[in-house]
Amino acid sequence: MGFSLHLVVVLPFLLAPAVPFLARRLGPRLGWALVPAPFLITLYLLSVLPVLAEGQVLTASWTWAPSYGLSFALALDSFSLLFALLIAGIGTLVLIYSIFYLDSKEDLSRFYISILLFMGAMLGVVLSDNLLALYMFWEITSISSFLLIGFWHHRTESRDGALKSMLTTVFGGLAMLGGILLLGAAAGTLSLRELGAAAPAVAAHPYYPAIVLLILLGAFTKSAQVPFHLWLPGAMAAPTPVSAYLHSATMVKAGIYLTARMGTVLGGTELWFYIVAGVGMATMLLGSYLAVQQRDLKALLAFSTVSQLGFIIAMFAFGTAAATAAAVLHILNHGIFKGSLFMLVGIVDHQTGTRDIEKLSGLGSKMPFTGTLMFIGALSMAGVPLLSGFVSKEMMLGALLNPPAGPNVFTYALPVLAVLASAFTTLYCLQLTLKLFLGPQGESPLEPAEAGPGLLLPPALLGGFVVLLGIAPALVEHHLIAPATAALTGRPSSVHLALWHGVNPALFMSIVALAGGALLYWQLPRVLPALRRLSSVRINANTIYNALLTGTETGSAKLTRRMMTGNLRDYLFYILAFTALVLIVGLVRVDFGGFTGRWPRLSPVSWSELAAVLVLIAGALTAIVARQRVGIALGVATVGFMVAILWFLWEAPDLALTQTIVETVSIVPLFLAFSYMPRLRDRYVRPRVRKSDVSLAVVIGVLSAAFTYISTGTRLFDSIGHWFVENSYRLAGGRNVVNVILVDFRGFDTLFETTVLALVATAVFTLVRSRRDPGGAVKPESPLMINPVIVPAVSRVLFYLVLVYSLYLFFRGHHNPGGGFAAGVMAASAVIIWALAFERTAAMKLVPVHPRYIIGTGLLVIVGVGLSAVALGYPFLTQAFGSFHVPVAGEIELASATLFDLGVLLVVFGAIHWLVAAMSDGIALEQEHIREYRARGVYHLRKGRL
Amino acid sequence: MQLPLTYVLSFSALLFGIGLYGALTLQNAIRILMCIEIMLNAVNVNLIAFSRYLSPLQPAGQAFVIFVMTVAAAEVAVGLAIILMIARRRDTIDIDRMNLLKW
Amino acid sequence: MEFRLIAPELILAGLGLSLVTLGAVVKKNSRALAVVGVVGSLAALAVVLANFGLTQDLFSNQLRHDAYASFFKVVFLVILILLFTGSAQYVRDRRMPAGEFYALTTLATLGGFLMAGSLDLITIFLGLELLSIASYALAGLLKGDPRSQEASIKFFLVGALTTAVILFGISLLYGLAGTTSLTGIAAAVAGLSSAEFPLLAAAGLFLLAGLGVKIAAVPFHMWAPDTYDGAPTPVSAFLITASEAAAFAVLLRLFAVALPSLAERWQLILGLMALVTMTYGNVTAILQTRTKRMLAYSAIAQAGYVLVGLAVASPSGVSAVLYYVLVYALMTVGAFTVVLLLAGESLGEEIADFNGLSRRSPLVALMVTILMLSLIGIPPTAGFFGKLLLYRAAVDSGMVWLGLATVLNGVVSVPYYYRIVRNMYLEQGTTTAALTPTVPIAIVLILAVGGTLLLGIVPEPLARVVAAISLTP
Repeated sequence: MGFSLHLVVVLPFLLAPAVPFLARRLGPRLGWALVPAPFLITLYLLSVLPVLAEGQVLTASWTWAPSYGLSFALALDSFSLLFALLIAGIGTLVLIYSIFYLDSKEDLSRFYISILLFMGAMLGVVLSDNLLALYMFWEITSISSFLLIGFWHHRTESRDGALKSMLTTVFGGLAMLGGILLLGAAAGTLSLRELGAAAPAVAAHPYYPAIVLLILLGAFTKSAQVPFHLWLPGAMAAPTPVSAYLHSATMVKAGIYLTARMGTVLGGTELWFYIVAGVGMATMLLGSYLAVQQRDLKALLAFSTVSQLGFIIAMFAFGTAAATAAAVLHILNHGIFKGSLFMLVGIVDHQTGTRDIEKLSGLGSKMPFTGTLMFIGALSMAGVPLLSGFVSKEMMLGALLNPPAGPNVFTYALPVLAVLASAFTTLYCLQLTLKLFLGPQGESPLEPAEAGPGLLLPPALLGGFVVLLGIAPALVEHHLIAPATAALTGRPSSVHLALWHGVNPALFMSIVALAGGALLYWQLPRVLPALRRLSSVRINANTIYNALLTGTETGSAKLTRRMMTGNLRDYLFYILAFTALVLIVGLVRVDFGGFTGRWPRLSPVSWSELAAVLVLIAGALTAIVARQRVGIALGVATVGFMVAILWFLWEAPDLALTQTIVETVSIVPLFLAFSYMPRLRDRYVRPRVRKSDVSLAVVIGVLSAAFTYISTGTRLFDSIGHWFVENSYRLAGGRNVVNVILVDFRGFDTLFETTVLALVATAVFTLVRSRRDPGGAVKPESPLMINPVIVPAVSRVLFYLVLVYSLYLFFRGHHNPGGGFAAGVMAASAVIIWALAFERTAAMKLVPVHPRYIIGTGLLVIVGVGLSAVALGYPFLTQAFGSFHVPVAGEIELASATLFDLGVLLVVFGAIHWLVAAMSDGIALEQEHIREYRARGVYHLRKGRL
Repeated sequence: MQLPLTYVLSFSALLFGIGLYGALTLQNAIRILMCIEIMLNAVNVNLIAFSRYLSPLQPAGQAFVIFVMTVAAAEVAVGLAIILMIARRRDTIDIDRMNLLKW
Repeated sequence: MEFRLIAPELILAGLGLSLVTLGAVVKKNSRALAVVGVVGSLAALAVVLANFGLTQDLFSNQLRHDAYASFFKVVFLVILILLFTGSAQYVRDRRMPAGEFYALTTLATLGGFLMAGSLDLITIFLGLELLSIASYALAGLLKGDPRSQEASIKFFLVGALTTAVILFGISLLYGLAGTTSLTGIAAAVAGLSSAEFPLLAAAGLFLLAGLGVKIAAVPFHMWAPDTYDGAPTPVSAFLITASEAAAFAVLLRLFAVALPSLAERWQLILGLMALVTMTYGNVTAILQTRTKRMLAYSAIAQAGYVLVGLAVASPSGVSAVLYYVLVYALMTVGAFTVVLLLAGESLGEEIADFNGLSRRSPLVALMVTILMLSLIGIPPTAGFFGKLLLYRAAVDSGMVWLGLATVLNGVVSVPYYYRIVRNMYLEQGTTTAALTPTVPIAIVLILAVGGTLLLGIVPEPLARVVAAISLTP
């Protein structure tokens, strides 16, 4: 049993992927191959009808994703069965109808795949017990509906309609998802059947209003309730079988299904009553009022659907047995007569070439069968006795008189509004019948002729049902309507369906509505213009939708133009301004309760420090203000060197040394870069200073100072630094604390720092090398030749001195300032000196190996040292140490750390060497370019262009 | 003999602000780069100040500074290379004129 | 043991350097380099997977090897492998320096590895710089293309400034705690009095701003569309997925391990940031006409979704982030691979280039549709379950408004994802010639789209994996 229940949902999904293959074999007969699927499902559903009528519920569950609370659990009771029968039954008829309706030249596979996906998803919606699974199927119906609306994609209105329906239903779907998950959080379960028991807890939960609103948003958008009704007329761009199936009989009923189901959990409160009844009745009135004014027959039917759905939904606000039974019966009736009406309008469109009500009239003589069926369907919708619509409509009108809340203005207004809306309903039903089929024949593009039996059969079958149910409503009472009502209310239904309910207020209301409608039709030439005039001044939902859409777009445009100017300085400004803003907010929100801010006792400042600081700041200012390149470079260099001096004063000699060396080496590329750039001057002599920039810089400076001030009140902590100091010698055999940390404790970081250097060398080389010179070969001429006599002589001496110093740094490193890093930079700067003084070819020749391999060797050494520790059974990168005596240098400890240091040295040396070589190459090449361009007279052209 | 921590931190904030001012107001890419380097130096001063004043015997901050220094220098080198690459193909490294990409 | 745990990093470092060298040797044959890159990354992936369940602190607590780090490493490697496979043709067509492209990407991934596993500010900084420096160069690899140049310089200058900001934050944190180790900071912060809190807040804010730039969170995002638009397509894909994922890895670890008190106090700030980021990204993406730029804005929005997981500051938030990061990587790499495919015909830069794709290749069009649905978060795709986890994490932490905002933001994103689908199915293209993907691109597409769909239909196994991962053992 369980398997067949799942099969009901899965079968269409299984069939869908086979469609393209079937299409290849069957061609235009494709449709016939698919009809058996919904037909079999219908038969199966009919077969379980008696069982379910006894109040039994068929369930089956497959696990899916328990972490998400998602399971493929199905439950089939009579209420679900009603929908499932509509879906599968009308689905069968629609498939047959579309075989005759669609041109075989159309993309039939796409159509049938979408229809099958829709059918499966829709069955999934009404059978799912798990709300998350329900939501998933719900979204698939939206997607397949979108695909079907856009089926005739060459028409603009198809595309707009498809987007509108997609946006509206996806919005509603997501809101519903939100509601479902809140409901799950509040009730502790996502199973529909278990939720009923949790209803009191949910109603008392603080999330309750949000849950109601969000879930109803989902239902209302799907069922095209005010103010989301506007997607449905747009969806009429779809082929008529689709309109008949999705947009009248089934998909739009999904919202009703959800409202009905949720009514059992969320209903019974005033909030629920007022929202559902209010929206439902407003929709009913607005829908019928708009339907009257339509010229397009499908639009008329669309608004009529909107109106009827509103009426049904309002019933679920009441929650009484009578209202529920009425709604359930009307769901069935509406599915049947509206399905047939759509097919009939499709036939009219198909046979006459137009759906414009103004152009059509007097078709009765040419299309008698179509006309008869149209009369049956439309009069049933109007609620004429002896047709199915009469029974349910009267029950619904009667139910309106017994509201669960009130009495107040609202509850009194409900029946009045319903009668008014019903009068409009009668009016457009008369338009559909009298106007269309009686009277003189109108002007239509095609000469009207009766349709073939294939097109007529499905609506004829449905029409037969309309008459049958109208005469003998009791036929469905025991097996379908009563048990379905009971499934919702939870009590055995005492409802009795009959053609004649006796003389009561509802009958009176029906008569008023019918008579009013007839009166309006009689006065139509006067009524219609009046109505249209009324509509033209009103702000309708369409304007709101369009305003939302264009509003978002203009907002989007404004936002991007404002922020995304493409100007980097704006970007930097925004980023820092927001940082400052957040900082200020953070400062304001801070609790200053325990704060005792005071400047600590001022201690004298040493002259040397003061001098260094002053020079430093002067340097920084110079770098910003200077007009000349040299000035900038010197300013930056000053900052660097003064920082080094400060560190020396603050007894951080390692840093002072490293800073000095790094500063020296990084100034060289800067000069290299500056040296060739006649074009690098600022284009504007005076920097364009904006007040906002200045104030931002000031704000951030002040903020930093403020936080600094706050920090003076803080208590500060001991750190594990002690641990390093105490363990430094014992563990690693070195006394230069910083270097020991670098090599041993942070051997790992050092390994990756060297990787950074290798990476940088690669990156620089890649960026500056020219395509004409992919290998980075060295050009003979040095751009930096300054003085041909003195510089080389001095440089030669300097070169060896620096090299020796580098060696010294390396060996002393483990105890004293220095180490592999400093030594590597030093060695590289020796080569740079050589390169500056002599031709760079000569400098490159000093090191016969390509720097790439030096870097590689260095990294291999580092990893090798680490691995040898692993080989000896120690953790990766553990160091071993020992020492030996060397006459001049004194005690030299040969830790494996020294080897590690050597690796670092090689990488650093190779990287800097390569970097400087690549940069000066790039410059040399560039100068060559410029010279070449100048020689050809192209250069200035290029300059002018960019 | 020594500056109080507050002085040093204020000094570092000042340096940071100067660099920031330059980075915001200048148009020449290289000069912006230089200003950022000044800002990095300010951070280094911060680190050392903390390391020095809070726990003189704890060199973890010093170790950090060595990393920062090298990596920052490396970053600047790549920046220079990018600017160089652009300068070779365009007439300008004025960032106000680089707004091909926007909106 | 340590060696085994560090082996993937060493493999990547070795791979990167050998690719540089190989690149100089086999100049013309970029496909061979791609093969080497893929094989090397697969090896690293195998080791990471073999080590997945192991938890250990390495190198005096500088690195932590745990499932959290391993998960991110898997994500990085999946991205790397897919991108290497899919980009060979692009690299050759655009005459990018192949060896350097593969090497720099590998080394950037190594940076991501360090960020995901680091338990120390110094290591975080190193990893960040490794990743960033490589990225700056990568963005400029189309050296003759002014757009690429501009992408690179903007990326670099913003990035360098960010480095300064992050370092400033780090220095304050170090000053407060006296140590750079995250666990040490946590211990120190726990003992802070309210007087010290402003300083802590400032440190956290600087770090948040700095890392916010890296994940392109609003209002620190301006560089991102320009950079992702101008950079070479495979590089954009890498930056959007791997680079942002790495920044998230650090942010989460930083706030969960070192600054849990801040994470709790800042729920509102982070939540607002998430909200603004996703909304801004979605709204601005609507009007874009260039594919990569649209995807860049969409990336901002997606970063906003992931921020939700950070804002809720709960274990379920962490799991949600992990899930989403993987799913997002699959979707985005898939989308960019289609751009790469179209780039083979000098198309794909404009959204209009997708016109009529359904008639040129129905299968590719279907794949793109699935990717777009997943990006919106429509079932049955992986993106839906990703958002579901984020949403539930938000609701469970009481941030209902944030969860709802996340879900409803999907609506704002419909028009621009929809436009690609509409162009493929409903518009006429300039050509109707059949479009056949090359074998490598087909493989990538099948893996990415298949993964997206599979995780949408069978979400349970991955959900279990991420649910078992936590940051605090």
